[in-house]
Amino acid sequence: MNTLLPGTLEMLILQTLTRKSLHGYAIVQSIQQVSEDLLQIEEGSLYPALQRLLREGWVAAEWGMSARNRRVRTYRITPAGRKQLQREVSSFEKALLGISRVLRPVEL
Amino acid sequence: MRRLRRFLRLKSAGRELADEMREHLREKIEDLVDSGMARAVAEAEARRRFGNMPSLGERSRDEWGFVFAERLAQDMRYALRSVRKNPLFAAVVVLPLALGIGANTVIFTVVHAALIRPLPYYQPDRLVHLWEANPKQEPEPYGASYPDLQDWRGASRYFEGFAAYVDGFTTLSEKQQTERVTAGLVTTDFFPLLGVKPAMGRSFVAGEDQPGAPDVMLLSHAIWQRTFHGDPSIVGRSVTVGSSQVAVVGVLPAGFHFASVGDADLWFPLVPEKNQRANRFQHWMRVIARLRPGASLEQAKAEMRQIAERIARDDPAYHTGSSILINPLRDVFVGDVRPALLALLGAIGMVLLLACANVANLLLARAAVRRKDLALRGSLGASRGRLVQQLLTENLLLALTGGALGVAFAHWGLRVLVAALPADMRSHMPFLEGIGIHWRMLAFTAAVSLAMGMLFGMAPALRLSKTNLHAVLESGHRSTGGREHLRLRHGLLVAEVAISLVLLVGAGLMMRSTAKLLAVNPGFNPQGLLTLNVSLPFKTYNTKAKVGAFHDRLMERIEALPGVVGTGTVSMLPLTGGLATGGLQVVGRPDPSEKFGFSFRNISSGYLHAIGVPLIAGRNFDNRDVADGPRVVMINRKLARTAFPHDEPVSQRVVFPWINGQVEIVGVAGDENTGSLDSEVQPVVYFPYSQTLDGGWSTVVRTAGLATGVIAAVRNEVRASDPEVVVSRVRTMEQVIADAPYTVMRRYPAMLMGAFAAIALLMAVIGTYGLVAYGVSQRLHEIGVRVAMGARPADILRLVMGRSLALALAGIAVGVGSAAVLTRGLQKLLFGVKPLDPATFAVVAAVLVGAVLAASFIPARRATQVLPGVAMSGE
Repeated sequence: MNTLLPGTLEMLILQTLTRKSLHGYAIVQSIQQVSEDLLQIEEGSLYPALQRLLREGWVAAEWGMSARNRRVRTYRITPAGRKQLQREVSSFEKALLGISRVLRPVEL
Repeated sequence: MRRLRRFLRLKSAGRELADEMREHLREKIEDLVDSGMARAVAEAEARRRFGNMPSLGERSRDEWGFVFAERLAQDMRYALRSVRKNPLFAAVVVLPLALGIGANTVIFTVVHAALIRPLPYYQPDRLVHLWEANPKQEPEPYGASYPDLQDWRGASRYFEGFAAYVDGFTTLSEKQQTERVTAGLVTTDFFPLLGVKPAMGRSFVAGEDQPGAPDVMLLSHAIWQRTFHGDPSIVGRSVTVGSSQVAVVGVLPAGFHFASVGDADLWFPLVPEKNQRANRFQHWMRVIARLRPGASLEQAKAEMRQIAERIARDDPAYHTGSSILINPLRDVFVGDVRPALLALLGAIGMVLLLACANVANLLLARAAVRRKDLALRGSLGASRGRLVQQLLTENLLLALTGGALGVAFAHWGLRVLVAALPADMRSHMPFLEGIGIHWRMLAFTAAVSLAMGMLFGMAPALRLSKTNLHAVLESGHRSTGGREHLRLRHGLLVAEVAISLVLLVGAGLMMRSTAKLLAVNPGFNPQGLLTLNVSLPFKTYNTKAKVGAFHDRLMERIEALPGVVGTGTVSMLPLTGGLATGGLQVVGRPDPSEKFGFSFRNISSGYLHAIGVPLIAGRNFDNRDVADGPRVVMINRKLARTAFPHDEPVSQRVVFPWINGQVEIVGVAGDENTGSLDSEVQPVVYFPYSQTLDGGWSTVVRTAGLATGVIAAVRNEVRASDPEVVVSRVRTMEQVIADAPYTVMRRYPAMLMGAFAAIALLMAVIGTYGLVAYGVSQRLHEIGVRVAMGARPADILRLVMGRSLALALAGIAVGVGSAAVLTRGLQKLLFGVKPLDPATFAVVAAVLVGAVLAASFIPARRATQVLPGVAMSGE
């Protein structure tokens, strides 16, 4: 997590929620599964990120039950969230492009 | 209203969030247990994975009603953990604070003892010291003659009474042990005038100062304890002093001291001899007086002015041009110490200021780093009161540690400071005896520093309550409040550099002064010269012939020792001052009232050769100058030039007030500085020891090798000559110079100021380092971009270090301006160096620029190693 660019966690959450509405714990599980455990998330930092997304209106939440029959809050992505995700992905790719150009070995 | 709503919303959001996070954790634990992990391990692992989860614990405890004390303990643990995590930070906050508190308390304690604490007498503010002065004849003020004192006693309008004292040495024999002791000889009204009553027995009574009265004395409390082991029946006993039996009539109280007499242990009534009672020219008595209640110093001076005029009319021969000086007694006691103390007090005040600035700077730096942490805790529901309380606990921990260490430093520093003074000088600063920490000052200093630490330490929490937590969180590390903090920190750094400069300049000036002083040529060679005092017991050596015989025998034996090149005796060692004499007249001059002041020394024939003063004209003393032969003297070149500008002094005849008949000048010697290294050479008259014989003298021994190498042999020779003869104060001439007040009063504050300046420099370096390191961490993104755009390491270095160089230069400008004003206060302590010495200023400025650049180079270099990718990735 330490090497993620700022804002990347939000992008990952939105991306995860496009497939399915999930509660917090399940989001972590899903990200780790999808990235084949390459991305370790400090789970405590998930909730501030979710709070931000909620406030921006990019995700919505409602109380429900988990698979273990516990009272949990389930998050789903909103249409505004989907737009935001597109924006973020494209700017992220631009940044990556910039970095990879700089880091690319010099060619003659 | 909006704020309140937002606050309430935040609160309920916080509670929901806490529930949610608690669920998350439980779920995780269950998963881990399901996968085969033990529950306890699973809980720990879940928490570790979850990371910092501050709000959760707090919330739940709140709900279960935990008390304040419980939180305090928790905060304390948290604070201790953060100290453990970053001990260097704790050390750089705590140590300077402790040093500042400790040193400030020590210096103030000494200042208080010397300048503020009342002297141990009745209404000491009404006590004054009086001197006669005649600048044309004598460079220094001097005491009164006995007839003068009688005339002074007539001043009764603004004076309640007068008393006189002199000091001297004698030997005390008790149970086969003979020791040399300092004695005070005082008029019988001396103790009543001070308002001091003996702790045991009685004070002197009228009549005990008359010739033929029985010998009586008072003991100091110290010698009563030390030599007589507090014997309760001491009063009324007879004790052997010198050669006579003296009855003890009383013991002085424990706290009594009288600085001008040093640490006198025996006090005798002052019994003037017949000629002392009559002679107007012998200014041998030192006079104190008590002003009437309400009388001002000005009124007293006016009254004494009239008396001085009357005396000058009655006795034009010795009092033409004489005036009477009056000073508060305390000023006389404190004397040369005052400017040094005040300079140090000023310096240490600046160190404390600096320590506070340093603490502020460091706490602000950390505040910036911790903003996000705090904001996170806040957003997760920790109340502001809670955050404030926690910061308070942390700062309290640092502050209390600093305070406790400060007390230790103060305690230890005070002892070191007093012990660093030569015993000689300490005995003239009795106010330092048994000195204890000035607790109120310590409390005050500590309170100021702690308040300072609190204030700056609290800054992040206070700021948080004004800003939107979410804004802080979103902005990542580039916190919005950082700018303001940074401006404050830049200001603090400029102040730190400026204060360091002032202290370094002060220390530099005083060190140069000390060096220049010690480089002064005293007119003789102080290297390889041993000095010692010799006192003969009067009961064995009760005639001049016996004294002379012992003296000559001892000189021969010392001279014959291997390693000894020459030896001689003198009544007072070089560079230790002189006594007023009344001046000499040259026979045959048209104006009989033309007098020349001088210092006098009684010397043996080997003295000038032994210390290395050349003979310029005429002859040295030799065996022609026998005790009952024609009286002769030698003079130094300085006196030869002032008294005999046009003719040859050798063979001229002169008249001294206390010698009947004329005295022939037989030789002229080079200029030995009898006074002090920081004064001009005085006119000197040398009398042959063979004609002045008296039972105590200083011996100087010139050695081929180290002066300390012959100490044992010289002591042996004295013991072999007569075991009852007391040898004291065995020192090399270099030690004599090093221990002299004019040296100590410069070297001692120079050393302290140097230490303070070193602390200041260290703090400025820490401050700079902290600031630059912080700046670099804040600008990592920017630097990364610059590197990506092709900036070379040198460009980055210039970018990072240019800022600190600019700040250093600003600090130096402020410092130079302040130093130019403040160093004038050092004038009295300086020697051979101007307060605005350009060399000192230049060197100090260069040192500071160097230190600041060095301190900023390390973080700056780290900045050049930033890879663009790393910099862009944020944390």
